[in-house]
Amino acid sequence: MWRDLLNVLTFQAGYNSNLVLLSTFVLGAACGVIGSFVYLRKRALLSDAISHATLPGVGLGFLAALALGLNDGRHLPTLMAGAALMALLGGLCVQWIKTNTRLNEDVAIGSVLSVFYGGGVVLLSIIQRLQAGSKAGLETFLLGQVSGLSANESIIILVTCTLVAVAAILLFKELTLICFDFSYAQSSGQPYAKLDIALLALMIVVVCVGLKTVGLVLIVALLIIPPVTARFWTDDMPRLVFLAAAFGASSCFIGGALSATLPNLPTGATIVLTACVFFAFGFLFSPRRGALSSFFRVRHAA
Amino acid sequence: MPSPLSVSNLSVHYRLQDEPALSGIDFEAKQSSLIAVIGPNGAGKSTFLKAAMGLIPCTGEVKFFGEKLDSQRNKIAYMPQRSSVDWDFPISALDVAAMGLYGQIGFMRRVKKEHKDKALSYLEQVGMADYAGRQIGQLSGGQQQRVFLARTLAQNAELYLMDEPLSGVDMASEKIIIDILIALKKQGKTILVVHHDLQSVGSFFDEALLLNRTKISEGPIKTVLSAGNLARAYKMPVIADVA
Repeated sequence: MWRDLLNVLTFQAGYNSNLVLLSTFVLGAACGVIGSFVYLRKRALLSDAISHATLPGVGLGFLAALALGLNDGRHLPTLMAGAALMALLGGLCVQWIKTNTRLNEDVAIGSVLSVFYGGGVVLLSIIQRLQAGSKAGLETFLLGQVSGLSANESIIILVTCTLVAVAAILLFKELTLICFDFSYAQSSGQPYAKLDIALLALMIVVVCVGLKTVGLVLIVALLIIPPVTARFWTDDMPRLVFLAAAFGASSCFIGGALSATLPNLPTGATIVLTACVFFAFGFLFSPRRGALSSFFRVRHAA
Repeated sequence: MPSPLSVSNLSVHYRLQDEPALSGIDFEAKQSSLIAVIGPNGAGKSTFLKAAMGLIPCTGEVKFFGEKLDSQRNKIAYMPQRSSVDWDFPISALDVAAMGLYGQIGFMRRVKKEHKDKALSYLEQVGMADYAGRQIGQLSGGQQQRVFLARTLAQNAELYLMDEPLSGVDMASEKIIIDILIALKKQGKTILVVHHDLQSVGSFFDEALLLNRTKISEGPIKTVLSAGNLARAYKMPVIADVA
């Protein structure tokens, strides 16, 4: 078993498994990059609502693929498109509730998250009772499963994540500005309001791409924990994004490999727990923002 | 020459609020003057600046140098309230000052060495060059305002709209900021400053706009600060020899 793990980690477990692991690695890096901006724009909770809102989209995507005769319904691009559409709808609902009612954003997020998720659960259980298509594997979208990825699906993930990360890096200066000071950005007259929507769109893309690997319940952790971990170690934006990408990629790589080789380890949860180990290390030992250093500073001051 | 900022019948009604935040404001800024926007808490001072800058929906007409806002953006610099941003953000004082140059640098272009040098020269003007590399959360309130001011100066505008640049500042920072405002005026620039301290307002502003949801008064500072105007704005007798 440990030999298997070593083989996977050193890319000696065959082409397919290498490709899956590489795509997981790049997914983690892309989540780290986009997550940095999501976290600094204070959209962490919104991203949770959006990822949960994808569930009915997965069901609708399955039905659409079935109707179009694509791969017995399990056609990843169609499933992802459905997920993205519902994620967008969920995001719009939160926005609408926030601006048109007296309810606050946290209420909007809480209700949209649970209503969409509930709708998705109902839709999936109806699908399970259908006679057509191969439904097996749809539930992996909840908690993620690397072993279920095919080579083609891995390539889709690999390419999309690379594009998303490149887009974010090209827009680095502008995204940083809207995260730091949105009203100042808007006062310049540049199309920053559109860029804010673009950031949301990039987030939806990584969420949808990561559904099958990490699962929609836990993908928000992969967006938020790596940048928060990175924040323990740096005060500099470019370094934060780089470190977040590194933490995200390593968590996905190690967690993905563990879950692929050890029995009964769900992928999403293993990845998130790995990310959490990095977080705990930073939380305890960061020289400036860590718990231990502030504990000793307080003691010293007293 | 048209006024740097002329506003007619400007009203702002926030959604879901019973009363309008501002209604029927007429105002004309005098070229090369230092204008205080004053009034009690919740009078709509910040709202006035935001509405003029097109940051919140409003009705009425706003003209900059006789034209619409969009054609004049590069002549206008806006400085938001210090409390509007998260100062724990992972960014240095120099990087914040450099944001004032983004208009020049251009969309998706990188900030180069020359821009950083230029940003540093603006930090120097506000006495913050020694803190260029500091994460902004490690600065005092006054120092943070000065970094914001450096970013605003970097835009090299003709009209400045500043939201409470003197709130939460220490004496040293206040002196530096006021000296810069006066220097800008002497260069022929027009500066509108939201200000909350009625005691100090008479000492360096020339003009004032007194608001409390509507315009109470506008003009030379001494006229605006008459006891009658203040009583109307603050809805109570104000006994202070401010002029």
